[in-house]
Amino acid sequence: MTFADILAILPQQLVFGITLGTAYGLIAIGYTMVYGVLFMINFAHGDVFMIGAYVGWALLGMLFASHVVPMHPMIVLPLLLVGAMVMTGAIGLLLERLAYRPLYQRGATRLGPLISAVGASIFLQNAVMLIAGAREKVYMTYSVFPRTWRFAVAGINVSVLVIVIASIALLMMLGLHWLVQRTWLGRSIRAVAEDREMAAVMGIDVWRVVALTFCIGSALGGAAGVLIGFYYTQINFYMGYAAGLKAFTAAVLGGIGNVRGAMLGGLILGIVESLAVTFINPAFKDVIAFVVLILVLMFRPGGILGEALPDWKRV
Amino acid sequence: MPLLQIENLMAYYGPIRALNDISLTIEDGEIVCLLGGNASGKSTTMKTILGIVRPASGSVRFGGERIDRLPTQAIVMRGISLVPEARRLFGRMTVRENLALGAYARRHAPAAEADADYDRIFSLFPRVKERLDQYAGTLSGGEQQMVAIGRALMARPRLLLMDEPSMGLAPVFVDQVFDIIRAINQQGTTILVVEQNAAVALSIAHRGYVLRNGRVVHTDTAAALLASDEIRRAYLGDEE
Amino acid sequence: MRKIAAIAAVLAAAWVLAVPVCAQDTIKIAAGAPLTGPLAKQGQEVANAVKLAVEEWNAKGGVLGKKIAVLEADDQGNPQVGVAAAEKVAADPAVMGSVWGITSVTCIPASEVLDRSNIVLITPGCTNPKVTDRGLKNVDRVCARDDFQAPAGAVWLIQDLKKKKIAVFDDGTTGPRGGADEFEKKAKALGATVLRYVIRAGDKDFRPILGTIPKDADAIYASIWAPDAALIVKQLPDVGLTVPVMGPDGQFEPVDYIQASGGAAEGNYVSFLVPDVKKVPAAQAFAKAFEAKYGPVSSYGPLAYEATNILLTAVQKVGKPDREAIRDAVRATKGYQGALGVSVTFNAKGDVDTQNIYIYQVKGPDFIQVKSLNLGS
Repeated sequence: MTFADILAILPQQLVFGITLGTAYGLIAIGYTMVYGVLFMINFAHGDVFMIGAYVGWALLGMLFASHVVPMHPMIVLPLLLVGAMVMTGAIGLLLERLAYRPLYQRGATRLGPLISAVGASIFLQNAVMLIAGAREKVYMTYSVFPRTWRFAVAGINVSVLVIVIASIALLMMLGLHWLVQRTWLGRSIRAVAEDREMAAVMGIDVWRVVALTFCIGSALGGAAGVLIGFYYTQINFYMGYAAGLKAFTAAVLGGIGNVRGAMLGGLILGIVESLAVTFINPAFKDVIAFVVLILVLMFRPGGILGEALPDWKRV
Repeated sequence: MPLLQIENLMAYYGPIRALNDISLTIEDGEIVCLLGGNASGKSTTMKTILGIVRPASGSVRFGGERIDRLPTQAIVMRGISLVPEARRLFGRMTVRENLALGAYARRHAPAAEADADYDRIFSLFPRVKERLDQYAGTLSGGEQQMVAIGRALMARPRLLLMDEPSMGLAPVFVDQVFDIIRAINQQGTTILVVEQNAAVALSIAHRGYVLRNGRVVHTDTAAALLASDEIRRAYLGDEE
Repeated sequence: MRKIAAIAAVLAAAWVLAVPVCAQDTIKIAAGAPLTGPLAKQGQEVANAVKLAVEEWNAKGGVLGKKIAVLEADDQGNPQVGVAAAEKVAADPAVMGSVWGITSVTCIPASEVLDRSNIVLITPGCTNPKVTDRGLKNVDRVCARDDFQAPAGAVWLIQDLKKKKIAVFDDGTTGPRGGADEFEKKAKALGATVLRYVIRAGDKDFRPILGTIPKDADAIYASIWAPDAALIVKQLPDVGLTVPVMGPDGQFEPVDYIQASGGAAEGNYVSFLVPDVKKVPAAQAFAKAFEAKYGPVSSYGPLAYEATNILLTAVQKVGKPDREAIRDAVRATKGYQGALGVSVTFNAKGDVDTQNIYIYQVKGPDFIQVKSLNLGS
């Protein structure tokens, strides 16, 4: 491939990278928020994302079959997003309540909740497989975003779908940023993340904040599930594993515990993956992503926006 | 009725007994001082009042109501605030946000009351006003202590717990902090202060309790304690 | 455990010894296929086609003066179940041969069990080269081998459609990678330019890799499974490419390929091993009879029917219920003129000497046969 060839496809690859990156970022936020308040990696988060995709798929099928509303993105997307977020938010609450809190309140070490998380992940995958079947599910993306809704700018193909996905993901991140920085809940979350005991001394109900953090992170993951469902057009019950791993990588890359870091990490990972496909063997796509992670951690152990962690917070 | 009444309190850290049958009372409007060496149970007593450490037996009453089974946030909501040892500000937040969090228990109160609280703190600590948008982690030790006290006052506590307020401060600043503690008390807040620096603490306190190995071994008025030879030898560093 | 095994062995022996007394007046042939489970539809079609052929023989008086019965063996597409089913078939002395299977994973171990009892196995749908490459005397195959599909695809794209620059995809696993290699070899021999790409099966976003295909490529050969192929054809427009996509029989899937693509697969090509019976004049009688009894033919029925007839013809030729002789007679089949309009001759390995590959095109919800290619083996 000549340099001119590469230059010619670069902008196109950036479009794909940014789209995927915003979605990765949205999932990564769930990991980073929970890590922030509990110093635990919620390995079931990828599966919560998967359930979001399934809820969206089921709702889309129902809307399509019932003809109650026109299949326009302005109507369909909000319905799907709200449905998926309510469902995954509730699952996040349940996970915290059933899989983690009992362990923490009995004074578990770090290992216990981690194993519980892996167990919850396996449980969720199998539950979805039993309910919905093992076959790949197809998102009827093009019944909502017609194939003709695309245009070319200077040789770059851009579809309305890509723009919608990236903008919704960015809007949600901005919304979350506002919530974390400007509201009582956001302040409480940051306080719990920084010093749980002092947060309680401020009068904050720490476990309620932890539960709400799970709820918010899971709901964003569920929203990402719907967006990714539209983008990938096919979903399955084990998709949460790979997506979760990527998003977790993005969270660590940006500095785990840091919400802005998760967004940035997601974007970087999405772009790096797309470019890796262009410049290097596509089979090495994931390898490249992890090499970038290792390089960043070698020079900035806390991640790009992370700070050096005090000893008591290290995993 | 005393504002705070602790009766026969026992508490453990695992198998280690931290409090052994502690009883003490604090009357409305007092400054009470807890004295004692390392691991004598002073800090544990405070943590038990706040529900951070759970007592094995005994009771804590605040304004007549038993609070020893309540979660920390519920105890705080009833009007007890803490200025913790080593300040423990939220270093990644601004001074303004730290003060705001102090008012968490009163977040539903009218904005005018919060404004009045800020004004009170700015009048006590004019320096804090200059530092409002600075990250708390970047302040000097003295400034951090001001913010920590301000943060605790934002909740308008009836009882203010202060754990080692002089620790790590320059000597000039220690006197200043204790002047402010006295001023806060004169504005109507009851104060329980734990302090290594017994001389300074007793100079502003009304009464004191001396703890050793988790027991109350002595209690008297501040003046009497200051005058006691035994106390002078044990806690005021006087040579025999 | 050992005691239970001993009891089971005694019972099995008693059963085997007891059967011949009442079984001498019929000849049995086994129909092995996944009759339950996810592949049941295709499996049932195999069993039904065997039954149809047997009924026709019985209507003409059976074979060797005896009635023919069909012994159904359900392998569930699962090797363990397949072995158990084959043991049961082998234990029945009336069985003179079998028509087995659509999945190579069960066909291979089942054939080894049957080989010990010299029972011939003709497969209408197991395409893995290993099925016949193991040198077993009892295995014959009436369908084409996997390794002939990719060259047939190259012939179709380059000779028939005049394509010159072809992007070839595989997923890095043995089967699909082998197919892509075979395609490249044949395509280069035919004078086309080949560009190789590897995807990972199960990935969902192929846009970045599709974006690296040069804009002057005029076709894609996708040696990958149906769900991945459906994604590729859906995502091609996102990179501004509109070229035909062709793939092997793994994409002969109305649901996982055509339906999953949401219309994007329209006009694409898939190679398959079974002809569309509607296109074969000689097969009309079979097609009508089958449809009247079991509904429309959709997959391996015609080849299973053909295999049954080849087997019973061999039994007739041998003239006595001798498994070993029947086995060898099947292998010796030469120039058999069956219902599909092509003559069947088995080579030394048990493969048909003319490998027939059928090219289908996606039209609406169906695959329509557009060409049949005959390659020498």
